[in-house]
Amino acid sequence: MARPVLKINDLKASVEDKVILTGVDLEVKGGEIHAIMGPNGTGKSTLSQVVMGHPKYEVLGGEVTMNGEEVLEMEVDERAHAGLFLAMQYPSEIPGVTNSDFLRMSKKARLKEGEKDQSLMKFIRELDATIETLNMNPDMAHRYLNEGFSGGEKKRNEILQMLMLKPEIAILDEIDSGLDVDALRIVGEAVNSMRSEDFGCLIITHYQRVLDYIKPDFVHVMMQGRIVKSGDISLMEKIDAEGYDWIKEEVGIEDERVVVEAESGRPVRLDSCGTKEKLGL
Amino acid sequence: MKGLPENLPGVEKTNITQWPFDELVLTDVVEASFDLSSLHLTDNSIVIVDGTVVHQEVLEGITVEFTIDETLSAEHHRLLAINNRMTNSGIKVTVAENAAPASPLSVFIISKERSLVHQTMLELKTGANLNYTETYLAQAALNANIVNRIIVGDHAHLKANIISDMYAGTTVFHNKFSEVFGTGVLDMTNFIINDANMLFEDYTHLEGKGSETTLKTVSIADGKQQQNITTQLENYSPRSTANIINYGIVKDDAHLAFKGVGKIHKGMNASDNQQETRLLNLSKTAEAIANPFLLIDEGDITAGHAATIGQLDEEQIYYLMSRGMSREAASKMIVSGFLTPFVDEIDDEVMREVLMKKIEAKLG
Repeated sequence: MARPVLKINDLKASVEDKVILTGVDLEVKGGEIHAIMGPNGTGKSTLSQVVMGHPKYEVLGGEVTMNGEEVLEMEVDERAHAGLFLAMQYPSEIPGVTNSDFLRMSKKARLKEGEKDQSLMKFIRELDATIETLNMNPDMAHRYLNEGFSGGEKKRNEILQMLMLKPEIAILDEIDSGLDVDALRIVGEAVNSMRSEDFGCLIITHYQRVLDYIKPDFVHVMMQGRIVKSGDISLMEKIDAEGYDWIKEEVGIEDERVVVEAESGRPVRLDSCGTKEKLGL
Repeated sequence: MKGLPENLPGVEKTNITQWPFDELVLTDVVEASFDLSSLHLTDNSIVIVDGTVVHQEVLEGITVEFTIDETLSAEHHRLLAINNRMTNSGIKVTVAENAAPASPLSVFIISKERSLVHQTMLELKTGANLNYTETYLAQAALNANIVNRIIVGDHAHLKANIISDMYAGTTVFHNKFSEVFGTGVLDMTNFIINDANMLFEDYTHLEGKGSETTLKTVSIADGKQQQNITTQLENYSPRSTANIINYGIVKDDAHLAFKGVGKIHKGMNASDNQQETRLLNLSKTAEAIANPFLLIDEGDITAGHAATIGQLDEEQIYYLMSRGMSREAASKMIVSGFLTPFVDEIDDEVMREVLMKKIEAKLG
């Protein structure tokens, strides 16, 4: 297998008529781990969602290719088939669908033409072993997908999916939020276990603590919807010690944000009220 | 039909005035024959076909009579009067004091050659514990009129699943009334998974201090199907706990109206009455109506209700698609998952599978 490569070229995108990405350039190859850092509201999560194809975002310009194929033309499932994976910051809860059924269906859907389906026994063995690796509760396989999971359980469940689905390029969006030190270490080990020429990884974070466990080869800083500075791990260390202000000064930015409100809309529940007159009370 | 009251039950949101409730085929059945191998029978099952018992094997502690009560319902309206006067199928099940049959009792009530005008009376005496499934199965295009009366005694516990598998295009009136006494517990789920036009009413009175009822109703309406469902729990005693859960999926040109009523009567302090209605509307031309009521005549209580009517959640679809599933496969998984938790609560594995298949067939 050739080394996978995700190329992002001058990517511009908006959500609800607000421009968030103002021209992102990035290349992630197999064997590489990249980290995108930056304060909140600079467009980091938007980048991951636009690459994966979230319907809420509108692409205004630029190009994304995966192994030379034009990604922005693809449906979301086709992007997954092309080898992309996104560990989401806020994974959906899906009642009535067990983790195990969901993963089995996902695996089946990803089979390439002529590829044979894994036997059910093999699948169960692999799932159980992966759950154990991640130090998750064994009943995880039979629980409904993300329903009632704690923040930490959801994050681990995203990593479980990555290990089971074996993507070529994975984007991990704020995978460290909600994880304690032990969980962080386990997730770090899981990502490191996938390190190979056939796997590239992009970690999005605004803390550097996850990067204590996963050493990135490249570090990028995002502000105002684009990457304003790139470097190696020493860039991360400098940010750790000095914060972001020096970068803002260097590139001449006052307000680094493009998103002022919270990025993710939470589900709204409608309540309605009956009338007391109805049964003559 | 002479001498019957003219008035139909008061129904909101659905126009039932033209529904052919009176069109019943009440001929004598010469010989009831039925292929029992098509049913999942256990050591605790009863099968009634066109009013005739074709199989009966029940565990100790359960008494079964095949009887009809011409005064079972107060004749508030025409449909209850029809049930009283034209009953052609009836069963009375009594579970003795403190009896706790080891396996679920499964009753099949089948309509093959004539309209079902049926009564079920189910009584759990003090301290009895029963896991019960009642399946209505129509094998011909015949309308039906069904009445259930349920009594849960002090300290008794009834877990019941009522499965309505009526015939496509027919008109069905199904009325249930339950009373829960003492510290009795009623935990009941109605599965309305059929292609009939249904007028379905389920009323429960919590009569005992410390009595509890959870009433769940699950429905899928598709095609041109019309369904009007009322579930009503009334606290008639202090410290009684009532919980209504209504889940429905509407497709195509179907109409589904869910009315949930929680009522706490005066003086019934320390009671609780909660309800949740969730409807999933999968079509622009379908009609999904949630009509919740909370009627409270006492101060020292807790109560709440929530109703949502929504389309498929695009976030959920995106999430599943991002793992490689097609939009179609993702939607299917989410929609059937909407009802799966109810089916998963049925203890009998075969019954779960049969019901899940029906649900999936209806969801297409």
